Amino acid sequence: MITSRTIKTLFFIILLVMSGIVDTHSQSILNKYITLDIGSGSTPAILSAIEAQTDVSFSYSNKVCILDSVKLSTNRNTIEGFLNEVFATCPVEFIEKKNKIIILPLSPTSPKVYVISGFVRNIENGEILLGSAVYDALTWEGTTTNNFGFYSLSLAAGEVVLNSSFVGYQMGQKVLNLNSDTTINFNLLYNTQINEVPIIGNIAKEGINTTRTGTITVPVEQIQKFPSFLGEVDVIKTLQLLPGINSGNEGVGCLFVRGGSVDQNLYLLDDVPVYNISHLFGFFSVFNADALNNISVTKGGFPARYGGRLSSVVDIRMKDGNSTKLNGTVSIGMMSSKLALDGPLFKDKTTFSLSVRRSYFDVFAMPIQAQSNTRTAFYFYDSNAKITHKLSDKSKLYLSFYGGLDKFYSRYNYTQVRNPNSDGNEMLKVNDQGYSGWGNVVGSLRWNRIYNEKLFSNISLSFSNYKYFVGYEEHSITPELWNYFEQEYRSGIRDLMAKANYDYFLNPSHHVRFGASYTNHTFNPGFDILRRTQNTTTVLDSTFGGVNVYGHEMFLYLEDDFQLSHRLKVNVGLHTSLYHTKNKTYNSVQPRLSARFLLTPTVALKAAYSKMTQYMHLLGSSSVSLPTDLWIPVTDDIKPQNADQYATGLKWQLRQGFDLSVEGYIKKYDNLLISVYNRPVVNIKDQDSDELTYGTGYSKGIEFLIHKKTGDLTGWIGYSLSKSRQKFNRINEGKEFPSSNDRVHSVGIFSNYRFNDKVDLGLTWSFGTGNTVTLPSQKFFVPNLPTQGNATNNAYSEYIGQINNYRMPVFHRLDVGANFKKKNKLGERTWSIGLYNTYGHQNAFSVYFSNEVNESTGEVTRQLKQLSIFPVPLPYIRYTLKF
Amino acid sequence: MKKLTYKNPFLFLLMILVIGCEKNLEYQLTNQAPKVVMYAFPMPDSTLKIHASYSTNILSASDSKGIENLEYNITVNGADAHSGAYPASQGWHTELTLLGKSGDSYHLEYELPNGTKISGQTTIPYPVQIMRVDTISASYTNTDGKPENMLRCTVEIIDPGATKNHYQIRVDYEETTQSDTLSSLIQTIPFIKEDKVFLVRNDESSILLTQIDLQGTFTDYLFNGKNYGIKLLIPENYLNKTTPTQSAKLIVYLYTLTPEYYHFMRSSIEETAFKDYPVFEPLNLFSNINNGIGVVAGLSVDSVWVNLR
Repeated sequence: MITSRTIKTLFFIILLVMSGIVDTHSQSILNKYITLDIGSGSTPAILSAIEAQTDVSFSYSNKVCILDSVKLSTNRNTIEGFLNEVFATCPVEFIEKKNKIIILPLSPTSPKVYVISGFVRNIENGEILLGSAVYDALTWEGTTTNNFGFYSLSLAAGEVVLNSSFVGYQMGQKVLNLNSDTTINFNLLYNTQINEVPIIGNIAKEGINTTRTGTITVPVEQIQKFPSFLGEVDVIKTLQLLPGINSGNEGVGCLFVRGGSVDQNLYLLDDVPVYNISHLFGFFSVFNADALNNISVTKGGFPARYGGRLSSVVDIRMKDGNSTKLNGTVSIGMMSSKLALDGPLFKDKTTFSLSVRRSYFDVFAMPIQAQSNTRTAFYFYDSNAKITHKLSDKSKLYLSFYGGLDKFYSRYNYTQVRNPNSDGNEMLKVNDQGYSGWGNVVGSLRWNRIYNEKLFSNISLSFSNYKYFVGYEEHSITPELWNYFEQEYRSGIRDLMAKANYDYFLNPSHHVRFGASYTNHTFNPGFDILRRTQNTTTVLDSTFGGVNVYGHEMFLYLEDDFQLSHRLKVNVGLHTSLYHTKNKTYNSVQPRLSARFLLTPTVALKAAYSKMTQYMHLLGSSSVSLPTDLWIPVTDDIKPQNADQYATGLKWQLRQGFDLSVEGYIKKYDNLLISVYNRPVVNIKDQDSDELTYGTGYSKGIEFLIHKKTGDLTGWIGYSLSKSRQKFNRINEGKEFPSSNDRVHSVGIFSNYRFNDKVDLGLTWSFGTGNTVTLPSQKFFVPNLPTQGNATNNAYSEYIGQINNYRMPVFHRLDVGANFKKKNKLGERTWSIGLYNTYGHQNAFSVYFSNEVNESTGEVTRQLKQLSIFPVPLPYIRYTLKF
Repeated sequence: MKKLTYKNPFLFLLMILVIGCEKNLEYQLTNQAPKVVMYAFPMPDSTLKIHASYSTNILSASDSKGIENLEYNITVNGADAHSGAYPASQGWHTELTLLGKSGDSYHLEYELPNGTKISGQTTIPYPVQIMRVDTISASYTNTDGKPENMLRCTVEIIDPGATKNHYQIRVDYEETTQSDTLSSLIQTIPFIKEDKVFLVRNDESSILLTQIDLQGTFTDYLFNGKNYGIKLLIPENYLNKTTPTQSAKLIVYLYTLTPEYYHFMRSSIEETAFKDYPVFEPLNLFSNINNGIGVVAGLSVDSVWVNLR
């Protein structure tokens, strides 16, 4: 296992090496001090005297001014200092070539610089391609598009061969004679058959070019080919196969990134945070792949524009909508059906994108249970909508919306009651019910503006509303009285945000980003609503419970992505944040640094450091992430949590769209919060703070990834070796223990092979060291209490001596799936079929102790058992029609 | 009888657990030292009983093990009250000389033969009085959908305002029958917790498993320092017994609990409930014992009875 000392040492060595290389490059012979024997003379004489004192030789044409007499101010100077005096009257430039110094006359004026700016889009649907490379093939100066597909590049006047490339797309090229500021938009053609595009010249593309470490972009097209659980394509489960990202329990869509916990991930849907990303307790995620344009996950080396979470940023961008024609997708699966539409609303001005999905377990389950007096079901739905309106060539509006809900319910005691409002014998059907659910609603209004060819802004207003609810209703009916009672418990979080982000493309060497954000948090820790009516008269209608907790979060950031040389590129930034509670203000200054050094045009060495602060905690009670897990905001008494992360890595681009990366990291946490009694704390009150305790933690590891995004065979192989520990003074006797998500070895493989235009076959295989779980170590006597009367208590209880003291058996699972496509008169249909857990391995979902009684002897023995929830192969089938 | 509970909102999780598959795992016991378990519940006008035992390993069929050569020492209000050797074979040891009274602070200390000391302390609270119990007949629909006549009791108390108070209401049914000899039967009634004091979840009760019966425990969160009537329903089967009885009555107990008693009791109930769901992390019971587990927790009680026949 690598140690933190090793990683830190490596990190600083790399930074030192990089700075040393820069220094070496800056050690010019022109800076060498020499002493001349002569104090004056002709230009050739002085140059000869310099040559005599050094091992350099001069080369100059007759176009430079040759003087008969030059008087030197001193006889000791640098070579450049002497040359400047010799050529003081006529401008020249010096070019070093080994030991030769070429002296050239300077042209009267430097070439003028103009700005080329524009957008890079997919030619078929007009969707922007964020992160596309745009560069001049003659000078190798280039940049990448921002989150809205915009780029800006300053180049010298003259001939320019401007290329744009994006993984999986055919390269676009425009040749022009640059003589003014120009707008050039690229429309690239998606082509999975792009094979073997070689790296031309000495420019690096995409992943190699960027300074970012720990950032992986997974094309949506690749995600849609994944074998899936019950046919539901799931963005989050796709990310679980990447190195450094764990799933937690089998089948559940949580992300544990580099040893972090589930609350330490920031899920941004069009720049708006989403708090609960799960449908059906995490078996599916709320993100509908049909509505998405781009997904990237950042595990480390966070640029300054990101903040608010410690472990990852999952940046998800919705489709803008096709700008030329109406497109649609209808998909019918075993668990849910989906409909997605996108297209132009007003030609060349406005586009829309709309998708809806709903599960239909309840649609079948309720009729089947029609004869039963107790009927149980659940459903979930989500919807995404986006309207993009072009105000002008330099201004655009985006209106985005997401809404989703999960609800579980059980209805029972079906009966009829006479309608008290009617005179006759009208009967109403009523029933009792218990229910539970959660939902998110997020929305944003964003305004993009290009002020000039170099300055781009995105200003947004947004909201995010998460709620959890549980309740029941019951009717008590007699001939005289219809008594109705309802109790509902609600909790949630509501955020209102305003944000301004700017991109300033100063020149090809500097891409500056800066911005500010304000978020108003309202945490509703939970309240009860009680209603009671008798016939039609309300006799009780009251609300009681926790008082809302408010927080004001602000941050400012500034970062510069700049090129120090062709080899060395650095992203330096500062993220500063404030969080104001009722009576206290917390602040955090978070430096961010990442650097890339090109060892060869296709191999980059990277290093990064980032400090992150998070102003909320999540307290959970189970081995899976549940909607009832309680978000605890920072208050006067509850401190924010922090993390420092160092990462170093190597990326080798074998071909365009095919790369190999190795990355090591060490992450340290402080102010981690946990409940002392290892259970949820339901309300947020100051006096509860003593039930909570702070701790520290660390995680470290090394990750390998081979990722191929183009060609018939696509996919990746990822492996990570990691260690994650936590320590709290008040639990586990103050000793260090493994984090819940600690997984020493983890392997994730995804592969898809496209046989032809009609058939592709995919498989995923995941393997991992078993999760850690807490098992009790002792049993002890528990008495019946003096106040319990005849009620009996459990005779014993279990004692937990150590946290996460047991590791489950190793986990592995193979999923396979195939897609069969065919054109028909409506468009293109796809049948997707496959098998989840193909070889039926029994992976442990949870473990527990259980008593077993020998029926013949009556002897009681205790045994540790594991529960597997998907122990057999689960087939799936889905029909999709694209038109 | 119809229970005022939520239907389990996690039926889907349960369904998964049902369709899931179990298998045995090898488990290697680690060599962990047993913990000393200490219990004592001092009450006014009651002699003190104390418990001492060792915990056992998790795979053991037995729940406790006696401690040999354990010395104990009890101090009341800082003064030594009693000490001696704890009899290892006894589940409980009674100190007949120690009669509790409200306001007394108890400190209990055990000493193992190797010198290790284990201790816990509590103060017996002053009992909050029941002002009166009002009763009225009420109709309710039971789980079979049939109407059932019940007795609605309103237990009126005056809550002291200075501190946060913890309570428990228990109702016992007591009947006396006479065939050849006089005999009595006492049953603790699982009454319907109609009042919102039983429903409010401002405390640490679980929001996951809302059907947990917390056995009538509550706090003064909703009525701190005020006069308040707590409503509960007594099911019909305790009201109209068909067997001939000489007398039948309800005894309503209002316990005033120390926070440690309240927390221990509720954590014990929750732990039992959570144990049925393997998906949840196991819980440790509340404990106020230094260097051991268990609880030393005081309580006091007031009661009234309601004559049924």
